[in-house]
Order: sequence, then structure tokens, then C-alpha cells
Amino acid sequence: MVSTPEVNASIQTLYCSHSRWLLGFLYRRLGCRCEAADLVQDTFVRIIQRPRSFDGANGERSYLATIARGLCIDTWRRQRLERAWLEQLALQPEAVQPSPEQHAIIVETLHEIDAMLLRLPSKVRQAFLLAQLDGMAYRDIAAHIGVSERMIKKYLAQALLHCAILEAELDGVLVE
Amino acid sequence: MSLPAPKLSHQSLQQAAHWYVQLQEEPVPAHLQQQWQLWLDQHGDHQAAWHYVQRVGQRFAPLLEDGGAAGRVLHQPQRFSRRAGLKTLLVLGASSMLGWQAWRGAPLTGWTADLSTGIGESRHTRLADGSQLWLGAQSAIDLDFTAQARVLHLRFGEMLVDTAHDPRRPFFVDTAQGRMQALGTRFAVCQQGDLTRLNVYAGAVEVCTALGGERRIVQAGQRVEFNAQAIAASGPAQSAGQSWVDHRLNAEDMPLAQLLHTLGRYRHGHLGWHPSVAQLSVMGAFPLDDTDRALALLQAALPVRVQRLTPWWVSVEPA
Repeated sequence: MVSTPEVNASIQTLYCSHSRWLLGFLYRRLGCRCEAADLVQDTFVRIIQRPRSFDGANGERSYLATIARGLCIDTWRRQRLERAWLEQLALQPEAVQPSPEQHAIIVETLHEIDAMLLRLPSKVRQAFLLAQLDGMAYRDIAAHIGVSERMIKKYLAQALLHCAILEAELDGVLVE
Repeated sequence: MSLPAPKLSHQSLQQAAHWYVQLQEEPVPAHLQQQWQLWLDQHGDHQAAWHYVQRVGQRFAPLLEDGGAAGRVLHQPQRFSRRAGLKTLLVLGASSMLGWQAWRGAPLTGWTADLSTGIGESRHTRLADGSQLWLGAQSAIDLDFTAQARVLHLRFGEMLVDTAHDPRRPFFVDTAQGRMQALGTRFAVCQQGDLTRLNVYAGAVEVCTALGGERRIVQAGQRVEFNAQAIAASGPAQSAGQSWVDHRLNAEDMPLAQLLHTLGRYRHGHLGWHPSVAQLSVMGAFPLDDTDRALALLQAALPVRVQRLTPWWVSVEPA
């Protein structure tokens, strides 16, 4: 991460000139002032992580808006996943209701895994989830999906490779 | 000041994924366990790769104790548009600068595929049941023949098949966007990005989309294009779906972008185009084994200019 006095100063200028505008921009989308304020902070955290220079105030605002819009969609997606999960949870007996701490961890994990699996073909995704979450034997997964056990092993290896590359890249490791 | 990013080979990760799949299945034979240990001790890269594959497995741990609610959420078909999804990935990956580059490229791999071709390459095979299969350039396919069914999985790229008759084993072609069942003999499938294109030349083929479950029987002489949800377009069959077997691309009112996409699979380097020329309609026969000539023919026939920054960086611009 780059952190020099000049970069800090330019981010401060950016914050002073656009943070109120960005708050309004996010508030119109989210309809909640608290969440909008949170996302203003998150947007600037992103900028600090990836400083860059701009052509004038228009360029600055359009860059901020792009990041903020991405964060909005991210928030909505997380909320929808959480809602779907709570609906499923309501169908279960009290005995397996998670604690508030577990709740937060599960929603975070759901969100990460959902994003990781997004680009996988649906059968690959399905086979991978049956193996990882349901602990199903390869033969049973094959029967369930309607392909051979040999194909299931290929699917699982593909899914693992895809996710392992992402895990490595998230650590800043270059996969070549 | 920053340190150079540590590196890991793609090949080590492939091997690690392969080992993980082998070792998950109980009971693990002793000799397999030993072979894995040898592999692991062989190289520091292998240990790093194993670490990341294991971490994928561990990601799921928090979801194992909520009575299956999280699992049911993830098993539901994708509830969000792909466009929104990509943005999520961008945000999720933004914790590292490199992160999101991997989200785009990773699934397009011919690794472990039963048959695959490189740029400009094509091949012809007779399958175990007597069916004839042609695979176009930059394509990958898995063959899954059992006593109950004959299934071809087209991961990406283009294929043409002449199916042999077998009343007891239906013939299917699967792509990420859906399943096609042969009700006749000769048809071509092209998988590209979020779309599958089917051209039927003899008999008929039934399409069923992967997530939307939309079904349609496509007769000889017809063409459909579909995504995972629904059938997006239909029309008369394009002879381009089979002319590539003879190294020719026959365009009959084909959008320029589709033609350039195909040429790109027969040519090394970058082949781009300006959005304003993407929808120009193209007529004519273009050689796939001489893409430079194909580009020259395009420039002669259309209001476009082929710009070559280097032999490997070509862009088609409005004239």
C-alpha cells in the first residue's frame, strides 16, 4: 500500500470536496442515512487502498460513484442472502438456532461463498456444494445429478481450482 | 515501498485440486496417501498450493452447523443478474488489487477435458458409438458415455456432431446454459460467454435451459441462441455452424462481432473491434486457415478499416 504525505493530502481534499455529495448519492439509493454514511466511509477506504490521479472534479465524482454503486449492490446482495437464510432457518426447530455471533459469521461466509461460486456452471456448482456441505459420496452425487462418477470428480477439481486461485489471489499471490 | 508479489504456479494448484478430490473419498488407499506425501514434499510450491486448496474446504466450516439452512440458500439457482454479480466480485476482490482479475478468467479452462483444441486447431473423432464429432478451435469437451446415456459436455468453443442411432441410449449435449437432446442426426453447438448457439441441420434437437427450464424442439434448418434462463433468439440455421469443418466461415447476414469472435479463435494475439461496427451485417465466405486474408476481405467488403498496431494487436475500426 502506498502511503505518502502527498497521497494523504489529496485524499483529504477529495473527502472535503465530495463526501457530502456522495452521502446524498448513496442515501437516494439506500434510503437509510446510517447505511449511506457507512458506505461513504467504505468508499474512501477503497480509495486509500488504491490511490490514483483524476482529470478534474467530474472524473473524481464518476470514480467515487462507480465504487459506491458497487458497494450498494454488494449490500443489497448480502441483505437478500441474509433474508433467504433467515427464511430457511425459520423452518427449523429452535435447537439449531445460531447465536448472534454465529449469525454474523454465517452471513459473511454465505456471501463469500456465493460470490466465489458465481461464475461456475450450475452443475459444477451443484456437485461442489453437495460434496462440501452435504458430505455426499461421489457415487451418490453422480446419481443425483445424472452424470458419471468420473464427471463428478472433474467437476469437483474444476470448482476447487477456481476457488483456490481466488483464495491465493486474495492473499496477493500471483498465480501463473 | 512494496515487496514483489509472491508467485504460485497454476500447475501446482491443478495438482493440488486433483489430490484433494482423490483424498476426500474414504477409505483412502495407503499407496495413494504415500504418493500424495511424496508430491507434497517435492516442492515448496506444492505445499503452498495445498494450503490454498485446503482453505477452500475450510471456508465452508461455518455453514455446517446451522441445520442445513445456508446450504439450501446456496443450492437455489442464481437469484441475481450476472451483471450485479460481477460487481459484487469486484468489491469482494478489491481487498487485493489482483483479486478480481481472477474472477473473470478462471472457469475458461480445458484442464482435465477429454478433448480440447488450441488456437487455430480443429479435430475430427469417431466416438465409441460410431458418432462423428468435429471440434473447432479453442474448444474443450468431456465425453460421458454410460449404459443409460451418451452425454457430451461442451465446456466452451464449437462442435459439430453426426450422431449414430442408438434407441436405448439418448444422446445429449450439455453446456453451462442448458441441455440439448438429439432427436435426429446432425447439429452444431457453439458455447461462448453467457450464450449457447445451436444450429440443426438434420432431424431435430430438444433444448432445455439450465436455470429457466424453458424447453423447445428445434427442427432441421433452424437455429436458436439461449442463455441459462431462456431462449434469447431464433432464426434460420447458419451454415457457418458447419462450414468451419472445411476451414471456411460462411457468413449469411452474420453480425460482424460474431464473425470476429470466431476468427479470434483461429488467430494468435488480440483481435478487437469498435462497438459501432459490431452489428454490421456480413455476407461471404472467409478462410479460417488464413485469417489475414479473411481480414483483408472484410476491409474490402465493409466500411471498416483493419488497424494493425503490431501483427499481434489488430483492431477493426469504422472506415
